[in-house]
Amino acid sequence: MLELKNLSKNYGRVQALKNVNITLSSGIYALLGPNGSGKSTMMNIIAGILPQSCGEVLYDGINVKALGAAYREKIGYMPQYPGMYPSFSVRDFLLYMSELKGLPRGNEGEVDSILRRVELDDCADRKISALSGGMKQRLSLAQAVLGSPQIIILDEPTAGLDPKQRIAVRNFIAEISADKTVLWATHIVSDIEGIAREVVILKKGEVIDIAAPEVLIEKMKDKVWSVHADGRTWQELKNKYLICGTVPDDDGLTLRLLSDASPCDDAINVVPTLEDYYLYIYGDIL
Amino acid sequence: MKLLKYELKKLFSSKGILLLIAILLAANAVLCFLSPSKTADHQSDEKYIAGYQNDIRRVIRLAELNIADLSGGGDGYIIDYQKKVIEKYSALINAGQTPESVIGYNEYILFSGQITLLLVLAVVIGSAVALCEKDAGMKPFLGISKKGRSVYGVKLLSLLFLSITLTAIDSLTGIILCGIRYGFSGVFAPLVSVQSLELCPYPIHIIEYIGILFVMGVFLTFTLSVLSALVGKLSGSYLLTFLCGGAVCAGLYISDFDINNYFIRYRAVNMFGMAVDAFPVALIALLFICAVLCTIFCFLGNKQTTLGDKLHRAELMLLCSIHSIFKRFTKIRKPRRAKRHGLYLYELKKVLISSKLILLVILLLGAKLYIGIGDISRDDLYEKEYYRLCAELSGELTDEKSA
Repeated sequence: MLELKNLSKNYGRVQALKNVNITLSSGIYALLGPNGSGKSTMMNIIAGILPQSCGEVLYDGINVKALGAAYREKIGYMPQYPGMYPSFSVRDFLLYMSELKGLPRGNEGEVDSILRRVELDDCADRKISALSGGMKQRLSLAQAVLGSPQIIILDEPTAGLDPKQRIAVRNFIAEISADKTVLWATHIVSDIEGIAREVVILKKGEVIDIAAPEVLIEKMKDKVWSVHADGRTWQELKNKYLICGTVPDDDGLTLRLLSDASPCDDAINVVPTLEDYYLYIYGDIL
Repeated sequence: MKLLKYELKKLFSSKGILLLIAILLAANAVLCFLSPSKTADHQSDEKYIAGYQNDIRRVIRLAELNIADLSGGGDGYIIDYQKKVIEKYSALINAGQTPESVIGYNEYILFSGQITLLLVLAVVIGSAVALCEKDAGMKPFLGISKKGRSVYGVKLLSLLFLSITLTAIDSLTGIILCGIRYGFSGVFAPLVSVQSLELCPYPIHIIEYIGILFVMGVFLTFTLSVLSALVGKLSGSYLLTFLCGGAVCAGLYISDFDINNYFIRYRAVNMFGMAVDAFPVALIALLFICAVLCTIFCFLGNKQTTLGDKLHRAELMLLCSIHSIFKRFTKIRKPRRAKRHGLYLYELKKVLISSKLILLVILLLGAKLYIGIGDISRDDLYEKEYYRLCAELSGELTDEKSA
């Protein structure tokens, strides 16, 4: 179990994280927030890359600093911008990571199996410099899960992937998360909607909410409306409400908007999604 | 051992580094081949061998005279130094070593003592080894992996391995080229058979001395590469690393650093008024510096040093400022516009700049300068030899003779 206690991080006068207190057990935890909300800072602190300004990170009740290498071997980390040695081949890179992680020798089978899972087995001998952005992203994910670490930290794992690959990656992470703590930072809400155990909502360095996706969606009940508008009413509604969807039809536009009360007489209350909640929370800073 | 293999792979995957190593080693080989024969500077072997014992006895006699002069009360260190000279050279005579006629070693040994180009390579390798993670964006992985923090120890091992390999290649090149050009006589002759080391106070053989040159070369290369790696680690900047390493190389070159200097005659250092052999002291000092640098390098491994971050930011800001000033300046002077050149200019640009051949041209010019400076210093040696002969053959050097 991973526990963050009174965690704060300052960059000079800027406070990137403000007194974060959360407890993470097994399952996928989505870290949701726009750019600059403190997601990467929080993940880097958990991974031990960044030191916190105050507070502590505990693993099974013990400060991770005291655990040292014993904690590091439990971590798999996929950074937002994966850096790899361009001259290494895909397989070589994973073997090198196995060595760095201190995995027992002779794990070539595991390497090949992970390459198959992330659909990189065909280019196992290709140099990293020759891989596309999406391939590098999948390779970065492969190294993060190599050795079955207990805590997997994924910073935007689906960025740059096409829809098919995104689904494949999402399924893969869901499969391996059964007995592990997976921390998944993203601002692509649909990626985590069906699979996250809980969603941690970060805003300007503060955790403003932490709950299961269904609970968050429930909070949006009676707040999402569908309204048919012509050119003039569209402008009025746009100025007054947060529009989260616009669909053109034969005689104007169908708008999906957020409002605590019915915005007009012909407004229809619709089923909310996590994306609606996201917009509701961050509408002021988007 | 496996991590060492990966470290070497990271380093040698850069074609630029491979090319630079090849060019510098080739330049060294060319310099070795082109360096003038030293044999002409010396007296004939027969004369040298016949006069060797007398030369050594003269040194001892001079030391005795100096002690007699200083017996009224002088610096304790100077007296001790003269006593050590008597002790060392008497032991040398008692060891029964007599010079033999040797071929090729004078040239090889004099060339091998100067290792400036090898030290330049050490700077390049040190910086590349320290900064390859930063270049590839792999630094975070080292910080969070179980064995990531021991990578810096492996990096030191790889630097040692490379120092040994490069020094070996350099030595072998020298041996092969001198062998081709001059040939070699037996390697088990006493070191004093090499005329430039006539007054070497240690009763060792040529092969042992070649070994000493090799070991010293390895230590110096390793120490400088670790220093460069450390500066690279702290600053995160190639610019600062090259400046620092370049300053050390330039300093050694300007001070005419030569490993042979420790063996040309007896040298001692003043340690609390006592004369202690300079070579072991230098070796211990070098080992100490090396150990300290290695310890700091490993200790700082993976730490996101604030100093390093600040220096790196400062470097980026400096480069940006220079770039913006240059851009503004060039904008004022020459408005940016596409200008058509003659075909020959485009060809030159392709050949020299696009293919980085300009680097080779600069290196060759550097080599030319190196030889030129070498010639100047050789002229000084000729002058000195001339004055020595004047003094020996025609009495003391007077103002009239000097003029």
